[in-house]
Amino acid sequence: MNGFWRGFDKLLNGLAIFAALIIPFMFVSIVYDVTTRTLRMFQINWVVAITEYALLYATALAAPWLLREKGHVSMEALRTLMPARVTGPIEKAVVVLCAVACAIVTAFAIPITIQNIGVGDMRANFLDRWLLFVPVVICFALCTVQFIRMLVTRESLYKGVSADQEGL
Amino acid sequence: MLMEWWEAALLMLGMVIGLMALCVPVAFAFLIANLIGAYIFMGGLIGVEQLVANTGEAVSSFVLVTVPMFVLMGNLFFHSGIALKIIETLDRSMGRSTGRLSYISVLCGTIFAALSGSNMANTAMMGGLLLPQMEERKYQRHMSIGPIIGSGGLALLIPPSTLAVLLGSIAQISIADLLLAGVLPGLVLALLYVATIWLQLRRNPQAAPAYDVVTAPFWEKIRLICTYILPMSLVVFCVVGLILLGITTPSEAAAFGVLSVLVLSILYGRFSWDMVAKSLEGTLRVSVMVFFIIIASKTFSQVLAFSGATSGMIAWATSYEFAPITMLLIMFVVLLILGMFVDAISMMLLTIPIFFPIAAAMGFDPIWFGLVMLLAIEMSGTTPPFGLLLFVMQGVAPPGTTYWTIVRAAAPYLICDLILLVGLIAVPALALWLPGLRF
Amino acid sequence: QEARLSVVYSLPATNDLMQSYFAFVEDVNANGAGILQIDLRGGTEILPRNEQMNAVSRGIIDLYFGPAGYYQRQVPELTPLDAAAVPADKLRAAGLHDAIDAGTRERAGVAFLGAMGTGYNFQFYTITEPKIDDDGTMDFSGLKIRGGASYDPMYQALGIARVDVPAGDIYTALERGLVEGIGFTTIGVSSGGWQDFLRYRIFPTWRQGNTIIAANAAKFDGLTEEQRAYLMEMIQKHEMLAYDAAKALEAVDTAALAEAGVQDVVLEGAGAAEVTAAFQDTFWVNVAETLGEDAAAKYRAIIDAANGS
Ligand code: NA
Ligand code: NA
Repeated sequence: MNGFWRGFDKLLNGLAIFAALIIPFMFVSIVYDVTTRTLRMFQINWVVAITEYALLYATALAAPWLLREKGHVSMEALRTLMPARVTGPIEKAVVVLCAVACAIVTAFAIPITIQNIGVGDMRANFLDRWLLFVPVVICFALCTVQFIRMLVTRESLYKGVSADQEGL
Repeated sequence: MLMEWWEAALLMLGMVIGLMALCVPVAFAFLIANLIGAYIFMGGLIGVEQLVANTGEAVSSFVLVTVPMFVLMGNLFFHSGIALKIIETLDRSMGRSTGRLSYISVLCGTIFAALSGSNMANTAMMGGLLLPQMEERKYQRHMSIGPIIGSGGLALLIPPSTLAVLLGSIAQISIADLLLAGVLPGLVLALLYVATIWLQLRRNPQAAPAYDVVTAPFWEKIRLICTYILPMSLVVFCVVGLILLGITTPSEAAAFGVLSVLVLSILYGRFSWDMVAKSLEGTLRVSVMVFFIIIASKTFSQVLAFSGATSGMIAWATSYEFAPITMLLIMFVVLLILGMFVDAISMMLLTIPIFFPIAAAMGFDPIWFGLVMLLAIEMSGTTPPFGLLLFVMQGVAPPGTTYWTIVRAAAPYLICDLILLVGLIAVPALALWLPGLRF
Repeated sequence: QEARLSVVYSLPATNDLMQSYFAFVEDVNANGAGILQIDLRGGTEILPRNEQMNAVSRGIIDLYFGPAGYYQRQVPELTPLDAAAVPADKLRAAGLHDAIDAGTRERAGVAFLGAMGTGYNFQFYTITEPKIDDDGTMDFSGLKIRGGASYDPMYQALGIARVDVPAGDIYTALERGLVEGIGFTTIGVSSGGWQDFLRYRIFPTWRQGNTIIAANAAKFDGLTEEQRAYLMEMIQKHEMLAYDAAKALEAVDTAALAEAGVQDVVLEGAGAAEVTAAFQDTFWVNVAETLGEDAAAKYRAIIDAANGS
């Protein structure tokens, strides 16, 4: 099983690196578009459409990595107010709930992706709408796996904050 | 399935708040409530299918590109060490003074408000830039987070402001006038923020302790300022200048801000691929966290609106006849309450068609009323439970900073917003004087 | 038994074009007690714009109000409407509604009920003074004009450099001269406050508006004979009221633009023919590509007949 999780980690890291590279890609394409437009040479007009997709891809592909990194915000402070004996079961319930929700989204996103094959997007002639749902499928499928992993390996969902940091 | 509007509202909001109280991560709390809400209100499984389809649309919007670009700009400033140099220069030229960095936050916030139209981008950028410096100098959280989150919102009032343009076009009022109307109230708000810091420091000077610095001799000061402060005008030019020259749109300008910081880092000999990689990782963390919440909360707004909860509340609150000032306050409160749960654009689409005719009937100036709405939207970024700036700040703040610390730090700045509201009611010229000069 | 139909719309409720829809709903509801009532559910705050037609297709909501243009690539059978140049009654008489309806039903389970967008058109507005050559054609080459991707074929035919500016940035783009013009409807320019920056309005217009009423086909077919007849009677009445309203709105915009000092430039002869051809020629080529030669020819025959009637 450890081998599986090592491979899974590599996958999450790889997707996060890809997502991180989307950011300079957007930066360069905007600068290039504006420069050529101003100079009236080699004009391109795909930047707005591609950037809109890129924002979704960067978000969706890095979200599972961020989940593993515990980078999604939660009201962790409230855990310090709960009696110690319930925090464990509550966390388990929360993780199960999240895993189920992500699995439901994945299950619905797959047929939507298939329905949208060959369906054009008004944003640009070369974009098809299935491209909009592929990252959604990847994102929520991997989040489902990551939540299941938290159950299996007993890794906490939270960063862990102590009571005095809360100021509660 | 038919429910009263308040039953639908209670159900939807109750689910999200309950899930958040169980410490479900914010974005996933929205997601779970969305799935249940879509099943109930949008016709069962086809509703869930529609909800999932909507997620693809939520962040694929070009204007949002300013968020990663501005955050990247702030990260490059920070990781290249230029930010530290600027603060050292300010330190060495201003001498020992209490709460200096808090005041600088408001100053930076005001300048960046004139560069960007996005409150989220500005808050994230300044949080990443100034917060570590303030932590290092033992500032208490309310003196560091408060001024940053407060002045991050100025971006919506001081032009350029994407939301002001949208508000103007949906309400069909003069966009130029609305943009101009925001300038003075934005500056007044910045002054109120300064006053807040001053008052807080008077109560407790140790909250932002003065620290010893060696004040530089005169010529050294001049040299430092020429080396580290004046070149910052390149950044301002690359963002505002290029918009004014008609070279970039406000959404594109942020990319040139990034370019200018890269150029500066090369000129200072501080460019390295390691620095770029660190900046990209920082940018990815914040942007993904923010966008994931936007995806979930925007679809939440949609399910809530679909259920009839929001329109029901607006209709109910405006169904009584009151004096103009009471009516104004009712509309403001409705905006504040909506702002706690609904994203800014949905809020405008829902309320403008109802509020502007009421405002006209009450004899309010439409530009003035538009600005009051903008102020409510500005506040909604910082109102718990779902103020997006609160989540943004939690994402960039040092580990161990909790949501409630941020809410408490932001609260005095919300009171400043209310004082500005009173000011706008008492002296409408605050908003209307500048646009009046246009003719 | 009284039927209730829910509606989603893709333009803001304050948009000029929406007022004809609201008048329609008011009329239907006032006279339809016991037969049919329409329930305005909301706009893009309840469903994102690009998903609204899908929501109608899925049956989450019953009716769609707004431009057909947003769905030309999702439901390409809506496209032929753009080439029409006459009021809705003539299009209906020529059989265009039935032809589109058959296509959208098969593609997406959506019934095409009415064309509310006849009465306004699309044209160019520029900041810079148009260069008119000796033969009367306008020199469009290299002009930076704002337009969405759907304008691509026509803009390319004219040599225009299309600039994609998101709606929220159009104002600044015009104010600062980032673009030298826009392709836009004959109404609504003054609502954006753009007449302060635009200086020239170029004629001829090249195509008609395409705001429509569409319905979930199964829901529509499930109505009683009486309910369907009542709804269609109302739609036909309001298609023409919308036509009149658009004409009135055109007059409002014309006055506002004139007051702001916007000059009309009327291309004639070869100049007019060039603009018209740039749209019509590329248009039918594209329709043939997406729908096939046969379907394109069928639609074109109907539209040519209607435009000539
Ligand atoms: Na604020
Ligand atoms: Na701004």
